[in-house]
Amino acid sequence: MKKLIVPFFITIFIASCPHLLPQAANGVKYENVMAVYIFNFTKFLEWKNDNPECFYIWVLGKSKITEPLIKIAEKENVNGKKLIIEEIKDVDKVKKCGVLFISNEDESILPSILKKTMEKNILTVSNTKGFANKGVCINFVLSDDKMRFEINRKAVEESGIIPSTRLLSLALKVYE
Amino acid sequence: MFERYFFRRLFFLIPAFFFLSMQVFAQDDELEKLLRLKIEDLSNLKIVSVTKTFTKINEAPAAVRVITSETIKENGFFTLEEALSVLPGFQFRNIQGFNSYIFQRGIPNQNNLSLLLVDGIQINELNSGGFYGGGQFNLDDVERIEVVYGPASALYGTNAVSGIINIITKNPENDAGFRLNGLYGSFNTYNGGISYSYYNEKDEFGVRFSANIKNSEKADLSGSEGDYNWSSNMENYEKDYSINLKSRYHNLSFGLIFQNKQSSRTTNYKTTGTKYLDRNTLWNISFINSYLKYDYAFSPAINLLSTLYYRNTTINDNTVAYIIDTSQVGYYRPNNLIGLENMLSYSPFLGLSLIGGILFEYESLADDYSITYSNASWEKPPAPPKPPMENNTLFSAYLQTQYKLNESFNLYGGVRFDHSSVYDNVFTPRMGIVFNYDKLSIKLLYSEAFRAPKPWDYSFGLGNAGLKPEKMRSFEISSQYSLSQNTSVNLSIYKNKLDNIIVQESINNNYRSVNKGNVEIFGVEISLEYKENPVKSFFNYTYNSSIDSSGTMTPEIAKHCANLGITYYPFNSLDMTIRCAYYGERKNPKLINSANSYFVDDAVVIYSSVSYSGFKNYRISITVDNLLNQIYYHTSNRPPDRYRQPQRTILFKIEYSI
Repeated sequence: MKKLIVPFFITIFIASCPHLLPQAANGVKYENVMAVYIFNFTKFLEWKNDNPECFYIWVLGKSKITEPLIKIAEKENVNGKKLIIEEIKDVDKVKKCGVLFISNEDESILPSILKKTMEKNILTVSNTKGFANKGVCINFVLSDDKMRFEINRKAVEESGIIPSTRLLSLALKVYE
Repeated sequence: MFERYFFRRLFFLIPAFFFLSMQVFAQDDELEKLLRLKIEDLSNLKIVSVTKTFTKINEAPAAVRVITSETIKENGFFTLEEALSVLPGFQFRNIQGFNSYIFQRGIPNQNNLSLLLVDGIQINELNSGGFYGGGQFNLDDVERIEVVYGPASALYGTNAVSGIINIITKNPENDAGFRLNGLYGSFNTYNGGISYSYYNEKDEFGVRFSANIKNSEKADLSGSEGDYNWSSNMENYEKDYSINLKSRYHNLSFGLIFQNKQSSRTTNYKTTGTKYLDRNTLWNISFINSYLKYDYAFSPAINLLSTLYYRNTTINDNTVAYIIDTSQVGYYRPNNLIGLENMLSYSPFLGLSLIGGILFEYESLADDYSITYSNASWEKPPAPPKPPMENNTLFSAYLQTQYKLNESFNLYGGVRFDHSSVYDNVFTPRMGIVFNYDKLSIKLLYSEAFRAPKPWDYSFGLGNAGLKPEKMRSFEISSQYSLSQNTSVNLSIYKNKLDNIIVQESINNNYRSVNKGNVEIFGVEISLEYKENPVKSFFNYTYNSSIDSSGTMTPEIAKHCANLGITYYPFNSLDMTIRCAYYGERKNPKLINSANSYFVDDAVVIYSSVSYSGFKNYRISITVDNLLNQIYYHTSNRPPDRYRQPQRTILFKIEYSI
């Protein structure tokens, strides 16, 4: 028992130390960064056919991004319009004009999702490797532990959305 | 009795963890701060989330744990087994010599019950089927280590009995630039490494080169420090060289790994009072793994991965395996293998995924060591000639299905067929149900695995051409639950049985390998993780009950082990880690004369590391292992009764990157 006493107290002491010292941040949660990125995208994209009353962000499937998006919607707006966040299970539920976040869906149903969203001026966003190349407008990627994004310019424009040059310049990769 | 013994040992670990994790940190205003940043600044933020990989690890049909490069850096790990020691389910026999043995899930072995891969290519030694632990892995080059628990022969074939350890090295696209590092510390330990990556996004071309040299005398084992097994003049060392080259062009990728490990064999034998000498031995083993991969997507639903690979594991002909008073003994054992694997992933309709593959291997293995003797203990032996070689072939086919029943249920089934010129046909199935709902994931798994007999087994002593593969059957329930956004808990309960165990049997003053006996293992692995800036902490506990066919406790496996670790980031450029490991009492294969006991005592060992990266392009770290200079031992299946583990070890490292 004696030989355990010193390690015991050292462990407790060290475990207590963080509470005595000022906190600081080192690293951020990826879902928070993605949510803020999506909100920022709305400032650098122009929808040709706009919904005058509110702006929708739909989340297809269960995702950790829903909660931070809801928190953002409580305090922010998009060009003066109310921001509404909805979690949906079926892509048929999306209305015209807005953003659809595709949460890790099967590649096999991606073509049918994209066909519907393009007809409705929806900016599709995902976080699955390779999806920008497969037709999703914007796809998040991790590069050197940092959140970046790829843009499929053709998909964005065919969805009736105009990207700003500033947004295109920030992308890690732009698919034409 | 054992419950009281156990709880007395663990009582300080659990309160320490909860003392920290029950503290209420202020709700982070991270989102507020992010909203105030410009969009350009978002791309400079470092992400720290265990689920950042975007893959559905909670849907995989196995318990999987990942050691990230960040964890390796924060803890100052120097060898592969140090990195694995923070995970539940692992125990070790480190003989502080030419190899170090890793026991995953309760079965002592010669590193031949876990499959070790580097970038998906096996690196288990070809002749024995066991991999080498130690310092020859360049941990600065590691992106992450994925550890799969449980039998996985249904996808990977032989040796994936207790699990798989997959070391994934850095790619050109995610570590661009030039890096240099140097380390020096206790027991003449030094390390020097260099790496360079180039990546052109437009042309999708990248190349990465890394090289590393390591040296260490590991511990002071002379005289009384090593139980008087060796003289005060004993020599013990390990020198490792490694080179890794990776290149990618569109869908084609190439990789080459070369490792050379040179170590003394002093600790393999007792030298005090015996004919063995404890200087001038050399175990010189090289590994070459090279591959060419072609990854092609026919459509979003069909993908082909084709891999051509070459492997070489050779005990080089300048090896001096041991020295006795009249002679030095030289060993040589070359082995190589070439293989081709084609794997097709196909998703015919929503919810169904199929992975199927065929594989062909041709190997040329030494029948046994080629051995030569010198005429005096101070004379080097002549280089042994090439030994007789045997050529074997393997054909395998496998199929794995995943069916998504609904939002919550995934069904898995898999089977692999192996036809070998050595051990004939083996058929290995596995199946599982994975349930996911909200923050809960539960897996019910059944799987089988096998370990094929190798020349090291069937050529040993009198030889035994009729050896059958060892066979494992496993039932497991595994679950993961997110208590909150910052806290998750994992629990695995399993029951395994290993039959047809290959053991060495004495016959009329000689030996041979036979299939004999079995081991039944019941195990529980619990782990908790807590992440909330500026602290990251973890706790895990492993319970193992390993009983052999005679009903007795398997030696070398402790019933209880635990780990507790905390990393604190007081500000951006500083991280401090302290870790406490509990190694439970273990039965030794034989009497430990110096302690007059058949048991290796339990021990609590503390490890610590501090890193500072505030100087532009530099990172400096100090690691102190065995902070309190605890005296503790590992078990032994060799002439020394037990193995003393390293005293307090201090390492100083500096890294430069541009």
